Amino acid sequence: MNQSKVSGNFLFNRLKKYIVMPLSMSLFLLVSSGCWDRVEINDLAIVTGIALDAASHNNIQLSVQLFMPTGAGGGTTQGGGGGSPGGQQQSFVISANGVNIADAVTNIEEKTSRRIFWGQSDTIFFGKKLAKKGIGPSIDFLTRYPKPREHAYVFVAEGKGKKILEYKPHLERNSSEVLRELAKKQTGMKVSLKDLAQMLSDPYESPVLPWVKYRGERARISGIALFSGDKMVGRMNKQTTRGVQWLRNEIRTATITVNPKGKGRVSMYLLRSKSKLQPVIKNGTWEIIARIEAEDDIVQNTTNLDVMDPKVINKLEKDTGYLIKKRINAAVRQAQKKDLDIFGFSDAFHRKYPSVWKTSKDRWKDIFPDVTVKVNTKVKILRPGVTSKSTSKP
Amino acid sequence: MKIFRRTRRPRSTQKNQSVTIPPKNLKDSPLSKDLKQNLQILKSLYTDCSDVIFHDFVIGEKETAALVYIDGLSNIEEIDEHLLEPLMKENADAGSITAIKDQISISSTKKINKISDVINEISNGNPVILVHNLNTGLAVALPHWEMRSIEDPAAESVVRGPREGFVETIRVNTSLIRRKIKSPQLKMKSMVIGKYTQTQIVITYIEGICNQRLLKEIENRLNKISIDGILESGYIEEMIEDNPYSPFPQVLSTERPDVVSANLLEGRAAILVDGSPFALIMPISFWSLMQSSEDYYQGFIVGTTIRWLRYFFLCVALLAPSLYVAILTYHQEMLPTTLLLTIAQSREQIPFPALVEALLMELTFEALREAGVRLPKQVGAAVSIVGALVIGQAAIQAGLASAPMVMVVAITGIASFLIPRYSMATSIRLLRFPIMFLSGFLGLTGLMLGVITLVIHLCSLRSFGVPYLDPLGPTKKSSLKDVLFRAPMWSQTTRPHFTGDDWNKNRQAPGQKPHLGKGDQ
Amino acid sequence: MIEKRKITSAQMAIIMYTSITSTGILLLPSAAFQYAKRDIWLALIIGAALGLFTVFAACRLHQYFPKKTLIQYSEQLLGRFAGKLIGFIYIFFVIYLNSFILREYSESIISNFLSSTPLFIVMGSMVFVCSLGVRSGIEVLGRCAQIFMPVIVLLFLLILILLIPELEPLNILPVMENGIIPPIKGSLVAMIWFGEYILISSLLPFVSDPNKGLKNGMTSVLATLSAIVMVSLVILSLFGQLMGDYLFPVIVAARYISIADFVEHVEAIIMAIWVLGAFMKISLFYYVTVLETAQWFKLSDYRPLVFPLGLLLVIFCRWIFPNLQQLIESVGLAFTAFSVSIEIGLPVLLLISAFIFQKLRQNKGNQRNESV
Repeated sequence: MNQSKVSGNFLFNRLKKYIVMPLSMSLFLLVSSGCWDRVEINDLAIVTGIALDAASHNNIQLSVQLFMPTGAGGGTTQGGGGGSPGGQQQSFVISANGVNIADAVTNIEEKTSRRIFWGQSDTIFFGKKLAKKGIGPSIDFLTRYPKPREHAYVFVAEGKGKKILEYKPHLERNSSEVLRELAKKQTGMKVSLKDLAQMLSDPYESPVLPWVKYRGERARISGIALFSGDKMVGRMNKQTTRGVQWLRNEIRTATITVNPKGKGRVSMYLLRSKSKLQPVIKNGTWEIIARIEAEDDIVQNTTNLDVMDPKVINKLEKDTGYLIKKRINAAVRQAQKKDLDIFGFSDAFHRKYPSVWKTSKDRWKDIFPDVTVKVNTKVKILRPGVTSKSTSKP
Repeated sequence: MKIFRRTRRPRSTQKNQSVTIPPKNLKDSPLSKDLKQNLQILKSLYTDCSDVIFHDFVIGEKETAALVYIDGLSNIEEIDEHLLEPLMKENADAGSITAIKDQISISSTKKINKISDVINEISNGNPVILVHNLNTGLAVALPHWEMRSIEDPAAESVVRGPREGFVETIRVNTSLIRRKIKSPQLKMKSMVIGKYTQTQIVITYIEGICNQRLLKEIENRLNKISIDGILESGYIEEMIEDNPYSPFPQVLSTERPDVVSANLLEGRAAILVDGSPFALIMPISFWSLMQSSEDYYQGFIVGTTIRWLRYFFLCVALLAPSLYVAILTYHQEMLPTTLLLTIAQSREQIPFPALVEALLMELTFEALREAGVRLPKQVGAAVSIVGALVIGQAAIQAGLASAPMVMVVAITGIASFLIPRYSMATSIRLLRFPIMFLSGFLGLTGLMLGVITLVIHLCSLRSFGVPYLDPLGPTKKSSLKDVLFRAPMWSQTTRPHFTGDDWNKNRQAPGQKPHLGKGDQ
Repeated sequence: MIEKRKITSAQMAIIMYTSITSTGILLLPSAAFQYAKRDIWLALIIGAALGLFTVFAACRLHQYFPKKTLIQYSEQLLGRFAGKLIGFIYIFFVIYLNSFILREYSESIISNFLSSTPLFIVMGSMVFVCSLGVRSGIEVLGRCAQIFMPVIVLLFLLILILLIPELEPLNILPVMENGIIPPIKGSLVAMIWFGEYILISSLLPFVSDPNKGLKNGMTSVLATLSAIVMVSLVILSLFGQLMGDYLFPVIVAARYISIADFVEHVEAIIMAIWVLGAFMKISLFYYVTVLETAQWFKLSDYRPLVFPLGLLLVIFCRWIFPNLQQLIESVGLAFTAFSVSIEIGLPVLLLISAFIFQKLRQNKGNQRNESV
């Protein structure tokens, strides 16, 4: 019938609209999805760590630690086999030189069959030499190029950064993972790419980066490298760094050992700590009052003191406070000697006294060495551990 | 008995006219006083129909009569006992139809005086007595045919709840509903659709709760259907949908009388179709397809939690493979480092791009599922063994699929089984393929665009004039309690509201929250 | 009536909220930061005043001319020629703003997620999806907004909660370091966003309960304000001075989240919010463009205009901004001046003339006919 013919045509038109169109479109998509941004994991060389070193002729040497998916024997063919590959290699390092980091990246791309993938790089190491020359240009690349993480941790390596990437750790998959975990524990300093960019953008604050030592097949964070602008100008040892960390409110794990009256030692494990900087400008003298609060547990006691005695605890608390104060003062002294504001004092003054700051901020370099720092500590020992008496002494 | 209430639709007769020309006059002709002539007409209509029985007999040794019925549709024993026996007695009276009716011991009879009525009655299993010299026949209700017994509905099983399901016989189905809702306000309007099948269809609703405009609309749409035959309620469903081009079901089909009753009580209407154990409920929303009857039979806290579990796995069923493809081929940096490295290891040997791998595995899974449904039960076990090999360890060992992909496919499969309505689960399964293409094309952006397109479609969809996403979009606060949660029985005081009209709002008295000890005092 | 379906005033408020908030949280913080620095939240609050005024003006005008859109009553108020001119400027403004939004969307997607996908594909796919929404009418857009709003709000709160451990609230201080001028400058940028509330003058005729329009509109402005202020404060306390260096600080912030080694790189969530929000906003502007153009030409249906105007939008977008730098540059200069002057000027002009019109009508009694 005529009517059915019409409806047939109509149906065909609708079919065209609802089925043929999407079908052809999805075919088109399937064909065209081969281009643009699609990249299979099989074609990626996953970067787990980056090292930047100074090379000859003012060049930069870029080393990347690449993950080896085949070498790891991840247990795809042998069900449940994955895991310890023994001495098998899980990652390797490639490096290339270039006039700047972008150039070096191109050179590395030329050496690898796969596309370099930066999105998972959690650690960035600067060699000492490059750090002394200036890290600014490299940081510019790392923050502008959208791939590396803002959360990546940045370190300065004693010697060459490449060395640290190259060593094979025992517990983790690769060395950059080791350093990342170390940084997270915050026994040493922890500076992320974002933090570094923040410090560099502030002309009054001096950046610091954790200093990585590599001795005897072990890498560890040991103190900090001090920067003036983007150039490394010195270092601070581990103990003094603790002082910096106290002031910057960045201490998370610590064991504080005091030595009351020279007989034996009492060690305390830090539970919580909090520090606050309170700037004061009085009669032209600039002063910082640092209030530090800490709560500890006793973990070891080799003295014959009764740690259940409130008086003893009181004494211990005072000793601990004194120790913290000593550390901080040492750090401040060193920083002031080098005229590097690594504590964020400038920010504190800026916030509290914006108008004074505006007029005298250009003289900050002259003011900082003379800022008096007063430390008020308030230590609380909460528990004497699980035993009350010292068990080592009769 | 409602068997005898017939609504003839004017249009269907017009259609008949156009196709079968000769019988038209015969069919519509009234019964004549001449028995022979009547039988002749009937026999000419039923040529080559070996199952139609014309039984001649004599009433009270005086008047010739004939009994017409279809073998297998009527109860022959009862015919012999209650119909033929009294009529064939010596003193039986054949003077009038009323007289005959008074002599037989059958509760339900109907006088008929048209050939077409004879056809209708015998088709429904009601034998017809035609008597010489009377131009009226008598149909007696003695239908009897083999049918399935009432069983636990296979597609909608519950742990707690009634274990009865509809069967293929419409009268049994109506009785199942009537047994639950005993009020005379439960109405069952009957009509016949299908030129050849003459299928009986019942629209059931509760007067005073169901909106009259909705009923009119349903009747209008049903009246427009002119079709050869209705073999399943799916035929009707496809003919009355609001948007025939939508992949989503716009009426709810169910085998459960308790689901139908619950929906009737909420003001919806249902269509029962003879020959199909599936009732159609309308209007529905997206959410009614995500609800199981058991939600209401267990505690509201459990019910609510399970609902949210379902909503979550709805998203998983729709998006998991697409998400996998998008992240693995576009946004590798979004994975935690360890996870990425693990996936990289397992994917190292796979020759396919992630999109192709996902498509391959998903298609295989769909094929297995379909094969499992269609195959006889004995072979089904074999399919599951093969299936475990194809999308399991063997595929991984052969290096054709990676272990994470197998996980994704498995989770997607389980997720799609969580959707309580089969029709909904099928459309979700279907829709994940275009979204997979989109995410293989534009990554997560493509995935989001796919989801947005889907939501636009859902927002513009209506089921009998009721917005499909109601009560979420447009938001109706009063109805949200049965979508975002499963409100406790004592707080479900109002019925859902479908359209702009007034509605029978109050379902039950408020303030029935049980208080411990109050009753004891 | 050119649009047969209706929305509720709550739906209208939600459409405006979702569309303005989602682009606002992405772009406004860094744009306003250029001027207002640490007082960005103050700038936002000042800027929101324009939003409140615009909603008030639109509702007032709607009271004078119920069932009429801006295009229709401006013609009635100012005469045929001037009315058409105002209408043309308004349509042009909406298209211009929309192409700006579309470009922002595409650029952020490209620079953060799909760096080598052609611009045309990113823009085209979005405009295509929007055109589906626009063709379905305002009712569907209203419902979509109701579906998307809880998603956007929840995801957004999730991001903020995940960021809490990283925050340094002291970064917000000092307040008003350089006096009130920088926040006021910054508020001009904020006004671009809040002034977009003028679009409700095109939606009010299709609202089923216009008497609630004012209340819901105001609520919408305040909700938008609080969302954007919240984000700005969070970003500011996360990045401090560095905030101005990022084009899309919220995305960087989301990338910075790292909890328990597993919840990392959640910028996908931001992208989800962003795509949903961009869809709502582009659709809204697209819809208003199409609707008002149809009314400008006095057509009986707007549907045939959907696809042609979509194509125009894509072309416009490529043509106005050759690259990202120009896009950012324009936020500062011409764009701000152009949009803010229209967003302030148009309602003020119409409100004053409506007032005079009303007075004239009262004076002349009922001599004057409704339709001029």
